[in-house]
Amino acid sequence: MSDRTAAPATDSKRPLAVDTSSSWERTRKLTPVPGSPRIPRAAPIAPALRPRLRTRLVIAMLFAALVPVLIVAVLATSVILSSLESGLREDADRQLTVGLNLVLRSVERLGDECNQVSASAILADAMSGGAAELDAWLADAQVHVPSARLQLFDAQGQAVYDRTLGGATARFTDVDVKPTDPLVAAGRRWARGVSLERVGDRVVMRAVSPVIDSSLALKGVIVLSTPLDGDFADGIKGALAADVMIGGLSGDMYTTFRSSVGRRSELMQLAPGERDAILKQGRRIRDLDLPSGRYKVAATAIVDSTEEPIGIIGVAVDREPLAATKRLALRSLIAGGGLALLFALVLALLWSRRLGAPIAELHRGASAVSRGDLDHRIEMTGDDELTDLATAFNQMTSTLKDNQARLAARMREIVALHDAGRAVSSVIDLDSVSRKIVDAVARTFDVQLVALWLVEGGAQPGLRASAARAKRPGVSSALATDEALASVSALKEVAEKVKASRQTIRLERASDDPTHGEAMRAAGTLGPFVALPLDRKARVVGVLVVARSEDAREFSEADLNLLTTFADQAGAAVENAVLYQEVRGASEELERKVRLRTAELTAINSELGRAFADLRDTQAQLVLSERMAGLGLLVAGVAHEINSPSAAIRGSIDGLAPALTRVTRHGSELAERASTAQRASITSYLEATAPSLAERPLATGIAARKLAREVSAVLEKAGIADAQLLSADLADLGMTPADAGTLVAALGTDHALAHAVVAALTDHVYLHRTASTVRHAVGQIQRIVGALKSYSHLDQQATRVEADLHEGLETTLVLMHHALRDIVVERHYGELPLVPVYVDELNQVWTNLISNAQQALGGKGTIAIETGAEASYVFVRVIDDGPGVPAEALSQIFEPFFTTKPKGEGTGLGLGIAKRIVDKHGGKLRCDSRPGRTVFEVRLPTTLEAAA
Amino acid sequence: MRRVVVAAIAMLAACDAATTTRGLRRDPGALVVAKPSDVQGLDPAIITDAESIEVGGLLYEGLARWKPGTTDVEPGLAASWSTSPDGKQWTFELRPGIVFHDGSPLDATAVVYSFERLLDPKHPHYLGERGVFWRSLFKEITKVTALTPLRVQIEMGRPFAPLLGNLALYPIVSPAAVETWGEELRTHPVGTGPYELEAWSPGESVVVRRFQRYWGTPPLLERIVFRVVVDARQRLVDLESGAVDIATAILPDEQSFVELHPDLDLHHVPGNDVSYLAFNTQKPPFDHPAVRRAMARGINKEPIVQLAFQARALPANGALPPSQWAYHEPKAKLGYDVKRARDELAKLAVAGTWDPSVRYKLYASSTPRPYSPQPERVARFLQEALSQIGVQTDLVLQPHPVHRKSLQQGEHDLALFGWIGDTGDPDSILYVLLHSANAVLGSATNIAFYRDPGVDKLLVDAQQSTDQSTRTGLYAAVQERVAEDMPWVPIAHSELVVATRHELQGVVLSPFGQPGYARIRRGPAR
Repeated sequence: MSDRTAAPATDSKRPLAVDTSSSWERTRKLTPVPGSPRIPRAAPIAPALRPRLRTRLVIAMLFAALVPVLIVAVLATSVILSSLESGLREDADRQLTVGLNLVLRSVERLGDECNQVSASAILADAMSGGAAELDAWLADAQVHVPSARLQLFDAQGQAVYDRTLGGATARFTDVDVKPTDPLVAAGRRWARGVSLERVGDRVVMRAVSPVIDSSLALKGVIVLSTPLDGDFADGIKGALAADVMIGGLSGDMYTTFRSSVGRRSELMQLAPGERDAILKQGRRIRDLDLPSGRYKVAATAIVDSTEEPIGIIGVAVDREPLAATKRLALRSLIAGGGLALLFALVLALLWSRRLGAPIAELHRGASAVSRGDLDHRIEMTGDDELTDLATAFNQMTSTLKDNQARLAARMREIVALHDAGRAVSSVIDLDSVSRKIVDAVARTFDVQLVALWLVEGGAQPGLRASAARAKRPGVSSALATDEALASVSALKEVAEKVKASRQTIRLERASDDPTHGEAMRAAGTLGPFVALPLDRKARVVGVLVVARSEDAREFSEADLNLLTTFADQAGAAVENAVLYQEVRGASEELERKVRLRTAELTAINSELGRAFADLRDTQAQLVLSERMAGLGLLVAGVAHEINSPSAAIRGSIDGLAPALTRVTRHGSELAERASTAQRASITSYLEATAPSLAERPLATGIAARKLAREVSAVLEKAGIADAQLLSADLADLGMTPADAGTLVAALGTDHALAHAVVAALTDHVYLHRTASTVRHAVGQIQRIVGALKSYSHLDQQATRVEADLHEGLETTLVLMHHALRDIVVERHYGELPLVPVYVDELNQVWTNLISNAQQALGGKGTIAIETGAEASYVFVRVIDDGPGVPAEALSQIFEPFFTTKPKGEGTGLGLGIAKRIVDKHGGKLRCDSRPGRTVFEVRLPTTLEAAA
Repeated sequence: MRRVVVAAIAMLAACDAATTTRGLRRDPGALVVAKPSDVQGLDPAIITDAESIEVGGLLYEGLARWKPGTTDVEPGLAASWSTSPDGKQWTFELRPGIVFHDGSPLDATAVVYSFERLLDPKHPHYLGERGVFWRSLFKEITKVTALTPLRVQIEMGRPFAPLLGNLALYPIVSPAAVETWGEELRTHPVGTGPYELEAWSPGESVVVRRFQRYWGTPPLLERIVFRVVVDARQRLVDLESGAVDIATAILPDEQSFVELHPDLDLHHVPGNDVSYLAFNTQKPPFDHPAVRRAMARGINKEPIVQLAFQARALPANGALPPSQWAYHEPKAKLGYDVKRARDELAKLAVAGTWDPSVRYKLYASSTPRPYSPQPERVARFLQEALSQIGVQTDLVLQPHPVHRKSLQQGEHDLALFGWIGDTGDPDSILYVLLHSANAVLGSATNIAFYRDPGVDKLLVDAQQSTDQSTRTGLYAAVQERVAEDMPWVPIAHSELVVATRHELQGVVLSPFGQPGYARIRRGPAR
């Protein structure tokens, strides 16, 4: 539930809040206005309220009654009026159509009559007879002839006769047709027809017919003319039941309007604008008010056969019925409206009084309540909702009053308990807490006895009566605690039960209770009784017993709630106190143990110090011995290295003496056998050839035999005896066929010397070779010695020197040459700057890494040494293609005494020492291993700053 | 609440305003036409009554059409055409994108279908006897072929120029509709015209509405209602009250009423017809042109036109009305001259060619015809006029079918007769009435039995020439020759009359008296 909706709910509860979970703070705020209802203090009720409410009621009812009536009335009236109006318009329009039709039918009739008259054979005869005969004909035929002007013309178009028919000559004075008129001409062409023409300001209708005899011969033309004037209009009016206006283009209209005495109105003048509009636009309908009446007039133009307007005809429909209807409607509307208003007013007044009085009574009641007068009663008779409301109001007032009283009492208890709770919480000593609890309950509730048991003991917790307070009948103050404690021992059983069940026991009359009655009586608590557990989360920390005297009122639900709340607080306080006690005990124990342990640790510490010193010594020894072991290894190698050249030198020296003897002998032999020239040639040959042959590798096996055969071929060719024998020796010396050629050249023709020369050559070559061997061996020894010297660097032991790492590596390789004799060493050296190092210590690193690789290879395999420089460091990698370091051992290889070798074969310190030395240089030693490729990489900073 | 009341009042006021506007609450987009009789059917190939033709003319179109108010041919569904040098093959190029009212396209196949339906007895929807009128117009056609989807070729047995005028009349129907409706096409017309049928309540009205996909200029009015109002007087009353916009067949006596009425207009147009007094040129003395000419002089057409036709006709100079494109005023015009007529006849009597004592039989129809509303009156006028010049006649009045039969049998000496051109082409009057091929006893339309090889040749030549000016010349020669020979005395060309409300604008009558509905619109009321 959100705060917004929660707040009013709480508010509404607030006056009656006995809710034990509500905060004390809020409850306290209420205490200053105990029993105050939440009705705002209204301003004094104005006496004007009654009439005002009534006025509103009256107005509302008037509106409710009148507005719909008025709307309907106005709507209905306007609908009726507008439909009347439009009906009138349509009527006028229709009447005009009919009027026009009547005019045109009149024209048509005139034409018919004209045709009938013309068709008379008598007329045709009379035409030739002259006026007298025509008069006779007319007298005879007049019954058929309408009121019109009759003109006769002969075949040549001359007027022969002119009469006005039907009297009223004045009407027809100017309507006659001239002989030159096109109408007469048309008649002379046998044409029959009618026309409407304008004569002056009058519209005249004419009919023309040819007068023919039986042989179709044209005898003349007859023309009938009648003006469309007032009389004509009267005729139309008779058929139309509406007034008619008819006139020419000027707007002067003949009308049928009559004055009150029955006289025809004078000519009526049409407004020029109106006239033009009719002539131009055709049919128009508008209102016209005249002294004789009010009309709706529809008018349109009269046209001739060329559609040219020649006059105007209008019909006027009396508007009076419409106007009368309007007046009647208005009168009815006003009268009806007034009546409705009156009726509504009376009704509204009656009803407002009827409704207003009880409401005012209710209002007075509400005002009384708001003033705080809860004794006010509303007296109302009747059987409607307002009476129900009054009854409900009275009930509400009395309930409110009761609640107010109860609330005040409860509030006092709550405040007291709250204070007690604070008092209890403020102490932490268990006994003080107990006493405070008991005191608070005793003070707050009207009780005979209060007792508190606390749960104590570790494994087997039991109840201990901690505090009690009791009242003896007739004694006003509570008894001393000790005495009370004694008296409650009888209730322990009940307390145990509560503790075990964690349920509150509530008895209305303790003495009558079947279960606990005996104990109660023993304790002297005969009245209402409550025992509740002080429940703290998982366990019961105590039991609170409260009893009232026999005649006291029993504990209400509210009392119980209050007690439960208090018991919660008391439980918390008790638990706090218990915990405080426990913590204090535990802390003392801890202090004691710490002191003991500190002493033990001090002793151990000094022992450790000693052991550590021993360890340090041992380590130094171990390092030394490792160094010595490494040195030993070196020395063994060096000894061997030196031994081999020494043996070679000795072997060479052993052969020197006999060789020198033989050379001397060969020299003398040659001197004997050869001539001086030959000697010189041979000597120079020997001097030139021997050193070069000595440098050549000795041919062996198949290659030697092949060489021998080729050399033999050369010698045989030169005619040297025993060429085959010689050639084997020569081939042994490494002589080629080309060399043999040179030899043959040097011998010249005396081939007998060949053997001697070859023997001398052999010995020369041997001597040269021996010298070379000795030189080589001595160089090797010198090199080893130099390496040893450089390895130890005895003179630069304690300082860093800018050194070339390749030099140290090479030195180490030289010294380890013997150990690496079956191992291929590949060098992949990059460009290295000089690096500041402790040279001899670093040499030990190389030694250890190479020797480690050699041992890992088991004496056979390849060791690659890579070097290179990066931005801030140089690296040296020693890579072997041995089986590799097992993955599980990889993390341990730099630890001291770690070795994979059988016991006694290695110290296990080599790599550890190497790492320590590299660390000392500020570098890094890392190992990456897999079968077939194990890399040890040394990284050394190139500068001292980087090393630091 | 207040607003609702105001709205309600406003609505009432609006209703009120609507009721006051002349009381004619009709759809202003609809034109209402009062006709004396209902349409008989709207399958164009079989209709012959004027009402059906008039409505059909809005629903259907031909390959060609007439210019409004004339009988001049202009392109219709075909945008253009050409003829082969021998004049026997006509090729028509159809306009693309034209659809029938049912949405199917107009193409060469549809055109061919419309012709085969008429001409090919093997066609599943062959019209048979019902198509006899159209077949008579198209008897020269031997074959109609669709060359491409938009090109049609019509092959003729001989060159025949009037074909175009006939095509202007002949409607092209939707083959799909014919297949669907068959005989019932008469109640479900489907053409390409500017209007399509909306509703037909037999005996009451036919309603056509604007065809939205019409290819040409759309008609101005949305809807045309042809209402059957049998009584002539009632038609006029309806027109006067505004209930209808157009009324046809106005009584002659009432035409002056319409003319003088400010709200009504009377439209008239010369009809494509002729009334005439025919001599039986096979019978003496009428085989003698001099006799015929003398008699012609004795007849005054003016009183006949004025009195018997009530001025709704023109005195005729020849066979063709002046509105015809081929009209030619003959130089040898015989004026009305009783004295000269008498003199000439007297001379002829002396010469023995003429016997004044013989009484001749003058045949006339007792039934009014469109071209002659009072034939008996005309006949009596003529009888009187002839007697004035000494020619005595006995009047033989017969109902029209009998009258016609008698004339075809050649029973008459003199006969009052008339003809309406079937098509706009002069051929439909001149050839029919003057060619010797039509002067066959029993089925003659040339009831003067006039046989002149020169005229025959001119008429056939005019049929075969496709050049308009050539044809005009040939027909002028015919008219000149006939005026001289005077096989019959032309009396009058009737005028067709239609009454309309004055507010209608753009009313133009065709030579057949039909308003050009598509161009009519409603102006402001007078």
